[in-house]
Amino acid sequence: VRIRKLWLDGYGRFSNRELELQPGLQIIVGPNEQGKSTTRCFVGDMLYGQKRGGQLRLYAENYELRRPWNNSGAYGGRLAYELDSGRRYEVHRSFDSANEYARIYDSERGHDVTGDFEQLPNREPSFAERHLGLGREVFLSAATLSHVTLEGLGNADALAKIRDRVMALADSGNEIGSAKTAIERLQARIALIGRRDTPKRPLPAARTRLQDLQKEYEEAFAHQERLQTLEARRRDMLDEQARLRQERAAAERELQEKAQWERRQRLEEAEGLLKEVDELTQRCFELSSVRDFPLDSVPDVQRLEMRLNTARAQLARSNAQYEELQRHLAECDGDDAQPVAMTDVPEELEERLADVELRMKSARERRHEVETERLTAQQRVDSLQKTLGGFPDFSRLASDPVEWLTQLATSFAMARRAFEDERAHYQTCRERAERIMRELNPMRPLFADATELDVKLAEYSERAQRLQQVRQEAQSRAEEHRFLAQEYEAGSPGNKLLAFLAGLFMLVLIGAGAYTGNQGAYIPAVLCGVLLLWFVFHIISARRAAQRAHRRAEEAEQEAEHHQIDDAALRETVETLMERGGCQTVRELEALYETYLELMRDYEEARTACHRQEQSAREAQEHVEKLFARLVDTFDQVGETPREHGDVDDAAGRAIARYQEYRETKRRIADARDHLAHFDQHYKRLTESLEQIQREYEELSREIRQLLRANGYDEAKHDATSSAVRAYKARLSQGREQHGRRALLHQQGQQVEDQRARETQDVRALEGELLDVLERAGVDTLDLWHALAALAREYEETRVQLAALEERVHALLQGATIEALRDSVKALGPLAGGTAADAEALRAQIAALSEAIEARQKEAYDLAADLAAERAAIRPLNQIEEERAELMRQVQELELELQAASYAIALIEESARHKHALTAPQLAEAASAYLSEITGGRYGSIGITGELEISVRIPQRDVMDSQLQKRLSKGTVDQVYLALRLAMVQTLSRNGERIPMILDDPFANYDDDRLERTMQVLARVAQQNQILLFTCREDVAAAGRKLQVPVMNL
Amino acid sequence: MRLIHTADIHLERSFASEGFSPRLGNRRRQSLRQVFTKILERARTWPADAVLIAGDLYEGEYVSGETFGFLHAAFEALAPVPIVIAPGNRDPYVPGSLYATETWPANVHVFKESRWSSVVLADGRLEVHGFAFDGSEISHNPFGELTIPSDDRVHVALGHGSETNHLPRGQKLFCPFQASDAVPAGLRYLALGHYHEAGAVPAPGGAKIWYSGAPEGQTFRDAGMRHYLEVEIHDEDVMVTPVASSEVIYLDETIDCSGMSTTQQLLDAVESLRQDEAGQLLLRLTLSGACEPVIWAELGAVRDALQSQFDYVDLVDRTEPIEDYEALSRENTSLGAFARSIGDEIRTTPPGARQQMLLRARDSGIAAFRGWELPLRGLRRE
Repeated sequence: VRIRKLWLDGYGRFSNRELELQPGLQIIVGPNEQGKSTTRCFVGDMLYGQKRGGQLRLYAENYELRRPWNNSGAYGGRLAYELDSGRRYEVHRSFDSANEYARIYDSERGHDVTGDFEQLPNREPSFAERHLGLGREVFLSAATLSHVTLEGLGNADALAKIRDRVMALADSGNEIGSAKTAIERLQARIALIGRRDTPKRPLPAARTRLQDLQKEYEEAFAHQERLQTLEARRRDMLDEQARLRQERAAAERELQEKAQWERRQRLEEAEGLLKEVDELTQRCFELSSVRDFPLDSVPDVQRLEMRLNTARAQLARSNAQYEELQRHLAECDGDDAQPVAMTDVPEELEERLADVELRMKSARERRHEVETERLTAQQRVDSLQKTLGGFPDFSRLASDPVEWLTQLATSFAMARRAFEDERAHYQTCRERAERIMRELNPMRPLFADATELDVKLAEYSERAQRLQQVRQEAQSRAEEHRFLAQEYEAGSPGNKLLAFLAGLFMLVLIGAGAYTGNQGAYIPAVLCGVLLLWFVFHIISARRAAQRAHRRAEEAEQEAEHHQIDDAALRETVETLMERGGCQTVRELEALYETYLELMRDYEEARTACHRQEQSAREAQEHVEKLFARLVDTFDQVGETPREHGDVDDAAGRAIARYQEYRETKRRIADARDHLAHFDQHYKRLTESLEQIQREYEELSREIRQLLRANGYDEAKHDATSSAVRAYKARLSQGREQHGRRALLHQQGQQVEDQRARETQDVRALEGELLDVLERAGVDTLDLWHALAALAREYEETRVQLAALEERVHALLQGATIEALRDSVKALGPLAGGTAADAEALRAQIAALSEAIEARQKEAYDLAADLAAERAAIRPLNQIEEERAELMRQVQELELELQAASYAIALIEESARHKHALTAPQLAEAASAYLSEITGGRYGSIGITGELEISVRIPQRDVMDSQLQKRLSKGTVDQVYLALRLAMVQTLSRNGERIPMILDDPFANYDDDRLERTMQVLARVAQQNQILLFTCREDVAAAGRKLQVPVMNL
Repeated sequence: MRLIHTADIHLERSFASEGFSPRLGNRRRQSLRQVFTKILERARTWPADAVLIAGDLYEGEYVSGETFGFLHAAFEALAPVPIVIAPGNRDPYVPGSLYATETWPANVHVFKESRWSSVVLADGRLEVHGFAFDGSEISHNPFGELTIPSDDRVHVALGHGSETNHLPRGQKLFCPFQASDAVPAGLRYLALGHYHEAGAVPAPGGAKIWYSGAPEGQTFRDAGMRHYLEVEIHDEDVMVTPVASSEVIYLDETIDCSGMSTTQQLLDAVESLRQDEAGQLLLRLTLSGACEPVIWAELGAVRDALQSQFDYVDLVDRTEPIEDYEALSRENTSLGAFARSIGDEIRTTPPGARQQMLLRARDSGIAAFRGWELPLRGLRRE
């Protein structure tokens, strides 16, 4: 596309202004504020309109800004452009909202072709999209380069910034939206939603809360069942309460009836009582004669009577006692009293005798006990001697047979353990060797015959890498040739048309010449013929060139495909091994081979260790057998015969146990003999002691017997001295007792005599006192006094009974009169019956029922409280459901967002990777050429990877460097960017119309040389892509003029 | 003869389907009680000869002793005006239900069986025939089996079911019948419940068939004012007057955001929606059309602004970006390739969750390229 002419009828500062633009490079010069940017915007608005987006009919922000300043009324203009095919169009637009239109005319035919273009949702015709192959965003961003864009590019990370912008242009057509930034934004979005490892983010938090709610819901559901149970219980309780209330009401009714019955009963009872009152009143009247009898003296009389009787009885007892004493005294006086002439046996002699007798008895008993124990000890010694004879003679074996036997068994166990260890080690070695062998087996057929395979593989890798480079180069060439072929083919239709026109004109002219006979017509016919030949030549040569390019592309591709590693043997060896080993890469095969070698080394080591271990195990086994033979001999001496190796420990244990029994028996024999000797000595000592005591006894007996005989007592009839002493003492005490008794009777007789006199006096005093009291009552005998007192008491009792009856009557009447009660009973009429029930029982029943009702009420209250507590303990189901639904919706929406963002990331990555892989080589090649030209060959190589990582070859170091800000000036960085932008536009134009570029003072940091060279590059590029260069700098215009570039002043 | 006819109060219902929070749900449940109390109060002051409740008085799944306490007190306060209840599919007469287990005031009559039975009221002048759902699905459809004796009483029938010729869109079918089969000779008025919109069903003869509708909206499907019915039966005529009763109005509206460039334009458009409505308003606002990114980014602020005008606001974002995806997919860029690839996939994917995800992935991806703030759906705004 080439923009040919602008008519700014009314747009910003312009009105009725025409700008005719050249198809190549067009420089538009003007100082600041003269409308350069306005013109640039006009181009964009004319092509794409002023709507905010493809969907909206809303105007963009600068709609009002671009309204004509002079209020001319016309807001719009026209733009003429030409396609690469030569077709010309004119766009007529009015931006005024009241009269808005956009029309496209075919300039050659003068037709309105607006309807040929699809109308966008914002009602804009999509002619620019179709002709340029670009959307508004891409055109305005990719094809427009202003000084604003270049700001900041020379700072740190310049290349990274350029890369970001290039990437953004490739990715979205504008400079801010690269796939990378889009992915970063989406990842930030995912992070905001949250994944499993970020539990506090909305989605995981909502999921967790949802799980909690599910649990709460289940609990609440179960809870509801409990509530229903409680409700049912409460209802039962209330029913029970109602039933009890009914029962109580019935009891109360019955009680009321009972009260009526009782009233009748009371009347009957009161009438009976009143009758009794009358009778008692009559009796009181009869006893009124004793009304004044001094009943208060009754206690005095009774007391005096009782005291008098007591005194008389006491006097009688004293008389009887006196007579008894007189009788006893007479009896004592009658007995034959003996004189007291015997003397006492001295106490000292008595005590000595008792002591000697006691010691003698004790010594005899002790001697008997010792003799018994001595016999038992002798029997024990004999028994133990017999047991000892049954044991082997351990004393001949060793000084400490336990230690000796333990050592023997331990040595044997150690030898056996050593043997087992050796055998286990041998087994482990063998298993390891077998395991390594199993791992080796699949590889052995592969590598058994291989020699120096590692060297071969390294060589193969190197060659493969070189081959890859060669193939890539060939593919790049193929791509270039194919591109050339496309270019040739693209030019062909135009040439064919021109050739056709030239041929047509030639024929027309020849025909006209022949028809008119005008020879002059042949000259243009010849010229047309020449032109025809020229175009045909071009067509043929272009076709051949295209064919050649195709052929070369195919050759390059074939070359790329047919390039192989030249060493056939090496290739065959390695590739065969890769195939057999199932390896996809040489590196895999190398790793496999390394594993094989390592396993082989391990196997050899394992086998050597195995042999060594087998020998050790054999030696250990022989040692064990020798030891066992020695053990068998030794154990035979202690009565044990181990048959197998495993019996040794048991045999040693048994031998040791037997030795311990033997040693214990010997110790017991020694103990028993010691006891026997001890008892012998003791027996002897006791015998001697007994003989001495007997001698002492005999001497003392002689002395006592002499004393008894001296006191006239015949002691010879007693064998034992002690019994003689006891009999003598009995005789002596009998005489002394009789004498004392007589003295005592005399003394008692005197005392009783005195007492009798006192008692007689008391009786007489009491009789006088009683007579005084009787006289005061007006009676002279005690019997008469008693009779009158009984009548007086009856009178008093009758009076009390009467009072009690009157009180009962009063109580029955309950404050009313008997007549009133009679009237009320009469008013009740006949009873309904059922008066048998006991009122108290009824009251008790009512009380019990009230109590039960109260208990039920309390229980119901408690249940109600439980219900309330249960209800309060958990939220209602509907609330939980609501929160759960709210959360589920949230989770679903967030999950949708998460999936959408994740999916978008995956798709963007894939799209960008594909796009970058296609764009990178083309961009790199074209940008390198432009940069080389702009910098005069100083910087000639721009590298762009599949990830659009950019580097520039630095000539001083001959390396690709991505740290441009350190190596290059700001101007050079701008130039790198310009080269890339030119390449980008070229790339975007590759499959469609050539996109015009609009540059707005991008040369702020250029020196004169590079500015001139840049102008040359632009002039050359502009042959393909029209370039409108807006500038306020005269040096730029001058550089343009130098190159014959048209310059227009605004 | 004066009757109050209502139904579908749905006491204690869950508002989970509407996405209400438990707090709002509680408020809504309370407003259901208030509306019901007002209807009973009207029955007392009018005074009505009877109150007819044609099913779904409460939601059996969620009721508790406390619900019964409320109903008991409310009904008892209305005595001696009789209340006749025909249990519906949400409050069926089943063992364990409030109807079956609780002791109701003496002025309340609940039909217990799925076959027609009747109760005589108003000193013998009125006989109300009715039936009960005996499960969430009725075991026996009694419509067409009602017979009316020839006497001097006014005969009225009460039931819960779906008149198939007037089934509203989205309404489930329960105990279906046709008006022509449901009105026997001698019946003056058939009081129905189940449909939430009040309305008459044409009936043969001189009888009238009415759905009272729900007296208070239950969901956003019940948009606008709701009613109960005041029925006056004279010798020759039956006069039915719908009485507006809603305390809360549901609004379910859609606004096309195309052409809007500021959130104020959107707010103005919403303001125009509420001009005719008074009282508490619950708004579900679906935004459609091509939308400026700035509006996307400010949807949260829009919601905040609307919450001062509405008791509840649910913004459903169905807008599309201003970008022309078709044009975009023709571009020779990574973005173009992305738009092309995902566009192709969207076209070949049947509508459903996968397609929803793809549509959102396209919006998200393009917004990420463009640097637009695409609000996350599902984030709670505090």
